[in-house]
Amino acid sequence: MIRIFVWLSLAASAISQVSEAPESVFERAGELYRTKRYAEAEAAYQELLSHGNVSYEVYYNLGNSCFKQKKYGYAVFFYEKALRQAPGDEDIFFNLELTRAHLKDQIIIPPDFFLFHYYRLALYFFSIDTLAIAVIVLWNLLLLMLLIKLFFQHRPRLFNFALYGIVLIFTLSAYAFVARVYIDSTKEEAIILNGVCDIKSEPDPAAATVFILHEGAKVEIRSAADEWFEIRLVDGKVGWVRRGDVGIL
Amino acid sequence: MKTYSFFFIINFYFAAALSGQTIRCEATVDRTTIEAGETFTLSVEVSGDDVDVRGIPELPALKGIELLYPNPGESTSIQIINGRKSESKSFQFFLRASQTGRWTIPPIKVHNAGTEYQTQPITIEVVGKNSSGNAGSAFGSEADVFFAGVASKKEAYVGEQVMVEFRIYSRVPVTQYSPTKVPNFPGFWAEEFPLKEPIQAERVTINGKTYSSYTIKRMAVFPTHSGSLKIEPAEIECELRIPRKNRGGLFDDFFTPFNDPFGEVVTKKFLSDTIRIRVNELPSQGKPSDFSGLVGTFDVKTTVDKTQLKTGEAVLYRVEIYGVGNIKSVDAPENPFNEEFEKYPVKSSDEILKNGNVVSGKKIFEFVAIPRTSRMYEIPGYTVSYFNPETKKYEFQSSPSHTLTIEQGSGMTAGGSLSKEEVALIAKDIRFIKTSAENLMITRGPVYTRWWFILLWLGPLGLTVVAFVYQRYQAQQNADIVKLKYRKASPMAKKRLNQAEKLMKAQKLDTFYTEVAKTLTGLIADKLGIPEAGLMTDTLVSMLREKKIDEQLIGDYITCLQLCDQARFSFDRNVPEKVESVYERIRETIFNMDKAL
Repeated sequence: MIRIFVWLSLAASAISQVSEAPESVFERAGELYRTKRYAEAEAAYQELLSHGNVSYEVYYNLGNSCFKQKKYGYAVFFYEKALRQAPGDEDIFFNLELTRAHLKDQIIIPPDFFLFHYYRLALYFFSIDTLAIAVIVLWNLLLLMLLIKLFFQHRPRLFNFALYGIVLIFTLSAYAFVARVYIDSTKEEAIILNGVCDIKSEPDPAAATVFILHEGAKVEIRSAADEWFEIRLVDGKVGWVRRGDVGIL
Repeated sequence: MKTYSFFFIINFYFAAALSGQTIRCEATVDRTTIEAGETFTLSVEVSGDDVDVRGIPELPALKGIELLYPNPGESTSIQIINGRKSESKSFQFFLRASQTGRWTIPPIKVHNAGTEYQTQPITIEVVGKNSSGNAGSAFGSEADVFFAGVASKKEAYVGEQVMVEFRIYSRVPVTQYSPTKVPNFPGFWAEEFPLKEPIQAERVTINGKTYSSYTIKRMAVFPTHSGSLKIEPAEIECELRIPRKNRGGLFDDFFTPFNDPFGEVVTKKFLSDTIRIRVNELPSQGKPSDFSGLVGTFDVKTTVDKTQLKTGEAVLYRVEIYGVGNIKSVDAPENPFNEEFEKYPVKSSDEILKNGNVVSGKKIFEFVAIPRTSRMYEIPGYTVSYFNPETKKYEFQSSPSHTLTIEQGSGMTAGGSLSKEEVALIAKDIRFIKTSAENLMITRGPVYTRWWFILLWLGPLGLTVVAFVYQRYQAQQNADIVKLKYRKASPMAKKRLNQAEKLMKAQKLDTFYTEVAKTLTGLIADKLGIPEAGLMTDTLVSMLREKKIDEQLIGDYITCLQLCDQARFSFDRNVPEKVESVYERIRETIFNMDKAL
């Protein structure tokens, strides 16, 4: 029994020696960034990615490192990744907008009906986790109030008002939550990483080039075949791109 | 009107713009084919930026040539070009060819500022005097002059070069000429060759007669379409000097016709013949698709000014097509840069060289482009295809391709390709990195996939459902009791009334009134499903009114209750008649109430 314990502790110390703790890697990468060694900083952040899922701060910092190296495609990719986790973070928004100004493809998005625009803005205002927690809190509150209504004859006068208000807020947030979960699980988006990317009419390198996309362009993935993805642009253009040329969000 | 002077007594050689510090020393003769007995000029010219010739150049011993005057004519010229002085000094020796044959003038030594220079040797040919020329009758008449246009080829391909020369053939001195009608060349691209000044005479023998031939116009023409093309005749006006005929034989040798100042001057017009050239279409067999009409021999050279560059930096791609033939027919190559480059219109320039009898030259196309994206870019090679009239085949030459390595330049230099608005944005920088992270590594999935989320969702729901069901069950239970009470209300009232009747008859009035009052309230309470204890009269009345009971009945009921209360709590209870009537009244009210509810 003691022998096993010794072995385990030895193994644990060996692992900790071989792989640096993620926090210290993060610190080291930040220091590299501060001393303007952006390529090394990027490599360090990439190392964190290999450890597993990382927080939006890592993606954001990766985006910054790539931006400083003028790898705008990768910068957009990482900012978008960060934005998925923290849609309300203003820094990510700012840097993403700035990076977009450097992109070659200014894809004209067909203008939405203005209500739709606000709808989308509202839908993406909170992160999925925030929405989930809000929904669960409201849900519990709602049930509590129903119980009160059921068992107590004598209730404060504003009780009903509060109940209707909570029902309304709950309905809205539950809708947003369900819509977001649905979109996340069905809609797959990607960013063009390479400088210039020929979009083919068929999943075949010899096929005709339908159009050209430059780094940083956002596309929606419709289907996949072997080494190829069928993509769709916001403005409706469809074509095939090699898997290696895009980064899945 | 252009007037050309044919013969110079003294040749002035103007110093050409000289470059470099060296001294040049040259010997030239005015012509290399000379008839025996004719005089000619030998010029020795020293040129450079520091000409200081001491004495006269030493003329070596000459064979077959004699020096006419020991002292040469001298001339000096000074030129200042761009602030630099250049001088030239020349000496003219007058010589006479005395014997036929090929003779060489050996190198002539010249001393300039203490250094000895040598000229190149010159070979001249002295031809024998024409036999007929000696016959006085044939010597020098107007019939001895004619004018002709000569084409080097009678048959040519479209685009193939043909030389056309207009010549004056003459056996008498021509002092002046002027063209009165210049032919044009419809269907040709014509390039005029410059003439060497002064115009040199060539000795040609036509039909056994020796003529001096003066080429006054040389053209290279390139037919632009097939068919039988013709060049219209040209016309010139010549001033001829016809020597006097009856001269003594002795003087003939002495006064050569060319130096005779006493000839009779005649002006006459001459017309050349029409030149016809048959122009053939180029063979269609093996014609390359990109053939642009080049005929001759060509080659191509392509260069880029740099192969490593950054975005926003200009690159120059140069295509140089050179060779012999109709170089001007080259079409501009396709722009080799694609949409990722900022392109500028092609710049082309050409240079036509006329050497000897051929037109050669080069055409240069320059493409300037500024890359916008970083990548490896390959400029494909350029192929020039042409028809070679010698081999009668289409041939081509290709240049290798070039690979450009384009790196990302700094954003500021690429400003030219960005709009103003974008530049304004770029001037700003991104925000700084996040220095700390709350949870660096996310070990769990999103909140909604965690167990406690599901628990908090379904748990309270379950609890609520349970609570609701329980509440419902309770209500059901209560409702059942009420129903039972309602059903039992009338029998209970009858029972109580019977009880009360017995008490009344037994004169137990206290208990009687209590029983009657219980009957009254108990019935209403059971009927309405409310607890009997603590039932207030006011509440009862309002509840009865809710049930829409007749006001009269309610009034009776209240009166009965009050009667009971009065009887129970007052001392006036010993009136039996009253008890009987009260009982009757209460009985009736209870009966009516039972009916109404």
